Amino acid sequence: MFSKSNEELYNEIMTIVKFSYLFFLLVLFVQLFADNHDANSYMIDPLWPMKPFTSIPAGYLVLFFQLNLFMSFLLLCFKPNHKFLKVYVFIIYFLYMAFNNSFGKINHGQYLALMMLFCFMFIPTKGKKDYQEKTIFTFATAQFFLLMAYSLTGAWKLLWGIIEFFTKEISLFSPLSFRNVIITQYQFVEPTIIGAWFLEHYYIGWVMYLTVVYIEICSVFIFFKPNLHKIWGALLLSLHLGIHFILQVNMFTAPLFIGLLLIMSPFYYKTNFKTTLLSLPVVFETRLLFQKLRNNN
Amino acid sequence: MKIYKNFVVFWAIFFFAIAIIGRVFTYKKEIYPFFRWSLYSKTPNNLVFPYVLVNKVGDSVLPKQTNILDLYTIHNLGLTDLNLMVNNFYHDLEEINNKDDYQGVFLKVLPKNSEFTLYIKKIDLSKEDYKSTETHHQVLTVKNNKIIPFERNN
Repeated sequence: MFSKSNEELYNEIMTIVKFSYLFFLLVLFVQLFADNHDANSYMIDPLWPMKPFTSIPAGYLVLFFQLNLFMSFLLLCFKPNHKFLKVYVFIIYFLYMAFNNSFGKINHGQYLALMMLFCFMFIPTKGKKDYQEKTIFTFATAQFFLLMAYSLTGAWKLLWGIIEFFTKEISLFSPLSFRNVIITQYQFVEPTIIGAWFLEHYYIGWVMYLTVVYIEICSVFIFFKPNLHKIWGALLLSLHLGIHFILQVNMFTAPLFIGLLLIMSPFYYKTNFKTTLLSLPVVFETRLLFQKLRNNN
Repeated sequence: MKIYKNFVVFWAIFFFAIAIIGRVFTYKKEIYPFFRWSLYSKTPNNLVFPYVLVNKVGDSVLPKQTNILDLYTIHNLGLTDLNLMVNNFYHDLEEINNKDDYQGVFLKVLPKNSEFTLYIKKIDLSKEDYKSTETHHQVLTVKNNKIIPFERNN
């Protein structure tokens, strides 16, 4: 799977890890503006990790989390593999996310960030036995979970699409499916220019929707095809841009980690246009099937 | 080294197991932070869209009925989050006969003594001309922290 030496991969991964903490710092700054809790507001529906803190005003909790995360991420930019700091920052971020989701509804936008911090905790310090190989496996695990999240999203769409095909009038396989998703979303957000256009030209929207389902479902297979890491990263980024332009749904941290884990993938190796095209999921398997059939005959 | 090699397999099994347990056995349908990633998985056919219009916030009467989503400075909740909370409020109440038994968090979104009305908009999305199928119905009113179903209110 790896086209580079362990030494080379290790150095690249550690550079990405170092920059990721800088990105976390930037995400934190975006969140400074989003959290508007004062000393008189409290969590209305605390998640299990926040149960012991229900009597503390939300404003104080935000202050505690943000100051701690600021200090920790800043220190990690200088010492990216400090064991205690990595564990501490994961615990605080875990609690901060639990706090942010203790107001009635769980928002999943930040889960990928949490998953990444979790994986980075397991990167061993330099000098430990097999530290380079272990670091490579840990980074690959983070990539796998990112890609798996997208595959699951696509797989559920396909599963419900099949169920609804037999039980309802409109399913994923109907040209009205994407139009209906847009109409539902526009009940509570203002229609966008592109979204309104897709409502009129829903056939085009449906074809794009099916393409999105293909990109999502196949994501996890890309893990085993390093020559597609960057391309898939670009496709997933485009997917998020499209979701923003059409549905006004923002998962602003997801593109950040797609960038770090896929666009910057240390495992990537370049192949020519034809080889890249032929290694695309479904295209590759179909070609393999035809080759086997031809050989049998 | 063996642990690192198999970490992804063990963790994936553990993750799915908790995500499925959370989906089947919990009210929130997930155990934080294990999520099954089922975003936009179903295709809407018959849209039932609940919305809340507020008459009074605490002791202050509003000059006109205002959608709860527009009262951000009062509740500080994001648009998508609050919309889903309204949706859960409606579906939770649909499942219980005695509305006074409601134990959810929606009554905590606005200050005490607030007054608001829950409506639903229905649209048949299986039709190409879906706009002509749109209807609105009043479901209930909340006054003095008491839920009053529409039938009893009229």
